[in-house]
Amino acid sequence: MLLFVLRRFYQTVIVVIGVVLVISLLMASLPGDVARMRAPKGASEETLENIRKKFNLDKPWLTRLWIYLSGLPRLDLGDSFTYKRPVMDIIGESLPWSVRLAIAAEIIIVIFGILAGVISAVSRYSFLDVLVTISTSVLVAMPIYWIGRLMQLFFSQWLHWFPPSGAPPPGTGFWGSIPYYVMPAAALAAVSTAYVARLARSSMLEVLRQDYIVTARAKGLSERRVIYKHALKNGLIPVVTYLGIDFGVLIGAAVLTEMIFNWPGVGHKLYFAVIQRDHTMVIGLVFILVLIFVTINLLVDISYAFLDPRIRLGESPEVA
Amino acid sequence: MTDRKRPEDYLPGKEPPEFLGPEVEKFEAELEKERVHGRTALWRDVWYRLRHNKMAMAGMVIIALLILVAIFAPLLAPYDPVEQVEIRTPGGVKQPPSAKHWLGTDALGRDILSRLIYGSRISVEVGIVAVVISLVIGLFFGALAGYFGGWADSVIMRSADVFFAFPTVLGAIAIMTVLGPGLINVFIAIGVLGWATIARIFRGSILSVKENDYVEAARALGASHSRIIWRHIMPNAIQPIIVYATMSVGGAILAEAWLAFLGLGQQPPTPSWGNMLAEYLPFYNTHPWMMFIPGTAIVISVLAFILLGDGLRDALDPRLRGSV
Repeated sequence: MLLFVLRRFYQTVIVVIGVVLVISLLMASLPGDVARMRAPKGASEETLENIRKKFNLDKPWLTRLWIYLSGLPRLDLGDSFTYKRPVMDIIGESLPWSVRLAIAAEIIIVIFGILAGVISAVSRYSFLDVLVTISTSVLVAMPIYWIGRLMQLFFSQWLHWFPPSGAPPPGTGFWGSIPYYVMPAAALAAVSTAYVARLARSSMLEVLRQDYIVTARAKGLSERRVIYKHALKNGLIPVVTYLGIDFGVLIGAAVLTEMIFNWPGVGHKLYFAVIQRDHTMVIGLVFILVLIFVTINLLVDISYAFLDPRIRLGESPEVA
Repeated sequence: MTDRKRPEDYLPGKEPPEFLGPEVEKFEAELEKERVHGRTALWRDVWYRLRHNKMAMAGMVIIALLILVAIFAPLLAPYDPVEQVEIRTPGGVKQPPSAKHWLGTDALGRDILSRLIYGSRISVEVGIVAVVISLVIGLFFGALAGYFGGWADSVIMRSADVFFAFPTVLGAIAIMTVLGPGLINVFIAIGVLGWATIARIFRGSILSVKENDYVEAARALGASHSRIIWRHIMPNAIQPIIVYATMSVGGAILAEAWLAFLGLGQQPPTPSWGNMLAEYLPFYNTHPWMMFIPGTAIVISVLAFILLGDGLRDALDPRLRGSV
């Protein structure tokens, strides 16, 4: 067990070093004259020179790479061009919002994804099954920001069920803030819900073919008991792994959702950083989000090894 | 055919009975056909199974239509896609569909149908070019890692891990930030991000094929590495790649759409489905029908590639039917 954890940890460290290298390379090879883009129109050469000095743009490429690299251990990701503040501070403010949204999305995925998957596996080829198959395919094929806009149109514009966008205002209680979460969380959850439904369906179908299910049925257990007591536990193992890894993606890939719903998370900041060509900010945000993603993967793998002895003994086929 | 065997060869020392002649000829013709087509028997089977899968065929028809529309866009489009035909007409902008403009006009009085038709070109280009880039890089490194193993394997697979650490959205944003917006850079960003998965799949299937006896036999006969890889391993290891690549085309079309939404894709006024959707979204409460046009086009074409990919997977390996 310890060996597995150590090996997995060592792999993660290598990946993180690789990510740091890639990020620093990207940062050091930014295009064009960033200073000129940042300065007000018609700024004097002197002002430009000052900006270049401030952001180390006057230094040669390798020096800039080194400055950026040496800042990383202190979690210094440089200053944002637009906010004129350290990138790290801005992440500190917006990350909690993204995490909360991701948790809300994960709840939706668990409830609807698993429910849809299990129902369609149990009643295979029924109307419900076909409905689930078609709707999950369509969801996967839809641009996520369009899903968001459609929700706003239907549930806010026409039905007035939920506020169209934005985070709950400060001082809103727990129950009061739920309506603000519903639409952005649902939009963020849409694609993953579809995946989970398909994964749960095929995994349940696989399990229902196993001998111990036949045995359980032969013992005369009710169909309900066979499915919920025997099949579900084993059928959901791959789903749970997917959910764990997906949590990292939900935090990181929420750019489009947070943008559409004007949600004050990291993705929202990332969107504006992209639009305003605030390069330090973009690279810094991407870096932190990737770190979170990698860390979550590590945790999922380790907790998995605790639960399933086959994995820590290296019997898993997926040891790439 | 002078060297063709006569029926008497089958019955040495005997005069062949008259009636056997045509029978044997027929049998030989069958054998000959089998010999010529033997190598393609797998693909004939695949095609047979695919043809009987309604969903996959629906996907294929849609893809064929999409490609035809993209090729013949100048002939099909009723107007110039960037010309602001109705900008001066009173009430000419954001017209609902009519006989003159089948899908209406946009905020600048341009014909939406023409823009949609020309936009299909970008989607097809992004889908094909990006996936080809991923395939070239991914197959090369996957083959290297899987076939030679050792340190090449470690280096390649660890670099693939680094790419896996970037969720696609973030990776694309990071690359596009450095390269700048534009269609060529969309190709590069999506293409480069896709190689790791292809390399990993191909490596895995090479590892499983490599141990087969016929590969050992080829090696014993003195075949070169590249001949063994391309001639003996590739045809047997390529199947999962074909399925993945087909689905990736849909993914690339979708990726163009959200990169365009971030202002990083094809720059206006040239239409792409992504930048059209991004352009029409702000009118979602006043002119909701507008966003449905490019949106539906995107969904249908992405869906077509997913359906074809699903069908191909089932056709290539019927045992996998119904798995994700």
